[in-house]
Parts: sequence; structure tokens; C-alpha cells
Amino acid sequence: MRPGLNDEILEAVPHLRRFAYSLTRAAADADDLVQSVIERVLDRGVPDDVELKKWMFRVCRNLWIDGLRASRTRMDAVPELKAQTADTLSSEQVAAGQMMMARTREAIDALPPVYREVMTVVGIGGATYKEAAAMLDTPIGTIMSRLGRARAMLAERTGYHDT
Amino acid sequence: MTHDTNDLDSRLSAYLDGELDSTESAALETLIASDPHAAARLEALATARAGFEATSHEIDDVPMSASLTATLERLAESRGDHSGTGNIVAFPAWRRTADFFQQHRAVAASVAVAVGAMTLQTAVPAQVASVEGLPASGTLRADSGIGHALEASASGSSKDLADGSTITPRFTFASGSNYCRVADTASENAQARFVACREAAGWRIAIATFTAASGDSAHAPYQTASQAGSESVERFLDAAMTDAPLGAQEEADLIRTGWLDQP
Repeated sequence: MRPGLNDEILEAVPHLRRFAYSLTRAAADADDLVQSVIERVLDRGVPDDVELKKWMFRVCRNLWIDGLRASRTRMDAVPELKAQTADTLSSEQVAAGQMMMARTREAIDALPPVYREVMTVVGIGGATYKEAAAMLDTPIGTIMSRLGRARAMLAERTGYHDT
Repeated sequence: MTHDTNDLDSRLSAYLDGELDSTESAALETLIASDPHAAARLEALATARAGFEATSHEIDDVPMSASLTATLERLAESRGDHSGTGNIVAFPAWRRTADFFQQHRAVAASVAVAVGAMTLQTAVPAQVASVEGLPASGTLRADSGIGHALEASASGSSKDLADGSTITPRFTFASGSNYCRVADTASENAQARFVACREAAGWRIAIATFTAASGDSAHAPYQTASQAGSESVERFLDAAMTDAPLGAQEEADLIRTGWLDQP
């Protein structure tokens, strides 16, 4: 076994939880995913020459995709925004920062998985576009346009812009 | 939305990620400087990018599932480098890795603590602490319930207090000229993780984080680093811990001698 593997795993867990949470958008699902990643890594081992955290991100993304496929979720399906939108939040009731956070959360929940995926891999996982392209088996140009589109969707739905 | 806007968004987005070469970056910067629409798009995309990253941290304050907790506990146990500290819970994420410290250095100096309206106010005073200047208030006298537990209870042992809450010291460490203890408290409605340091007058709260109670996790024997909003505590410890946690025997000696020795 790779020396110090347990230490490396334990140190990666907080990062991996954020990564998994960004994909699943539910804490319980994220923990299940993290658990599966750890089991997979312990079971199958890790190549010596890889950075464990990035390897775990990759395994995490793959397991998440497997789960989506099993549940026949379309990666590009756009979920409907829930009835309770940002408009129902009163600025008297909620501090501005919290309101923006709530809007952001809602907007991320509503992102199609294919956009959430690329934002997670690059934004949380720290992958370069080249690494993201390899991980997602997608051309770099597509990575770039998906990120632009994903962020634009978030911006639209949170009212970051008025153009 | 036009194709042009999509293309601009993609380029601005790549610019934010540092993925454009110098020629492309320079061209975009010229555009941003001269075109208010482009500048507004950049700001909107940058805010979206930051917002996405920020929300990922929400899970830091959610207690881990029981099965994941058990898995991490097994990993920590089989690591085998904590011999002699048997009653001290290992908190893997509190290990001061260089990158973590680097990452959180800026915030470690002034850790703000959010306190819910219905928390353990009667048990632990709300504090906003900083590493440089711990607040003068918030001292727990040894004759209070929590103060007595900090004074006399071994790490890992839980103690029920008169108000129905429980306190569990987690471990003890030296920080400068003081000994400090990390402890969890839980009542029916809330749980808290805090660090208190022993001074002449008693135990002073250095930092405390609170969350609403969530089922049985408040009483779980192993509380993870993400328990009880403890990301802030984690950052605090990164800056405050000058050495590894004390062993069981060292801690027992301090309890027996009334915490008189200086580290």
C-alpha cells in the first residue's frame, strides 16, 4: 500500500466533501459519495505517481456520474426552479449577504448536472482546463464554453447583473 | 442570448481562471477597460464563480454521516502514530499541513464566530476571538459546571451538567504559556465546540462555534472536524497549537496538580 495513505485520505476528506457536495447538492448524498470514494481507493489502491486528492476527485466524479446514469438523470436536463424563489425573501428579514447566498444556492441547485460538473471540477477541484478536458473526456473548447455558460446562468438567476 | 455574448462569457470566464495566454488576456483587458458591458459581464461572472466556491463550504458545518465518521475513525486508528494518547480523539483535519495553514492564514488571525439565537448562551458565552488578542471576558470559573469539567475531566469522558447539557473535553494542548482544551458541549437544542485556555482566574473561552442540534450526532463518541461549525475552530487551532496534543498521562498529571505547571 502507498505509504501514509491513511493520512493522505484523512487530509483530503474536507476537500473531497466540498467537491462531492458541489456535485450532489445534498450533504447526505455527498457523505455517501465520499464514503464510496474512500472504499474504492482502499480497495483498489492508488498509483504511486498521482496526487491523491486529485485522484479522489476523479473517482468521486466518476462514481457520481455512474449514479446519475443509474437513475437515468439527463446530464443536460434543466431542473425547474423551485416555487420559492429569491423574490420571496424579504430584505428586511434576511441580511443581504445571506440573501445572496440563498439565491446562489438555489441557482446552483437548478444548474444542469453537466454545468455543475465542470464548475466543480475546475472551481472546487482546482483542475486546469486541460486536466478537466481529460477527466471529462471533452474538448477544451467545450470546457471553456460550458464554464462561461454555467457562470452566466448563475449570474442571471442570482441577479448579479442587470444587462 | 446571442452567440457573441456566449463567446464573451466564455473568454471572460477563462480569463478569471487564468486560462488565456498573454495575447488573449491583453486583448480582453483592453475591451474591459473600454466597454462597460464587458466590465459588467466580468463582474457578474466573477461573482458567480466566487459564489459557487463559497457555497461548497456549507457542508463544512454539517455533521458527517455516521458511516463516514466510522470509516474515518478506523483510518485514524490504523494510522498507528498515536500510541500513548489512547483517550484522545484524533482529529485528522486539524493536522497542520503546510498548505492548509497557508490557505487559512489570513482568516486565522480574526476568526468570527456566528452564534445562533437559541444556543448554549447559558453554558458558554458567545465570543468573537482572535489569535493575537483573546477577549478579556468569557472566563469560566472552576466552580461552574463547564469550568469544573475542564478542570477535572479527562479527554474523551463526557459529563452531564445540572442544566441537562453534557460536556466532553476532546484533547489538551499547550499554547504559548497556557494549557488549552478543546471540548464539545451539547444540549437538547444546540451543540458547541470551543477552545478554552487555563489562566489564573479560570478557563477563558478562546473561540466557540455553535450549531443547532441534529439528532444523535451530538452524542456521537467521535466528532469530526466538521462537527459543530468547527471549521473556525480548526483554523484557530492551526494558528494556536504550538505542539501536538498532550498524552493521557501528561493530562492526568495536570488535572491532579490543578493545572499549575507552565508548559
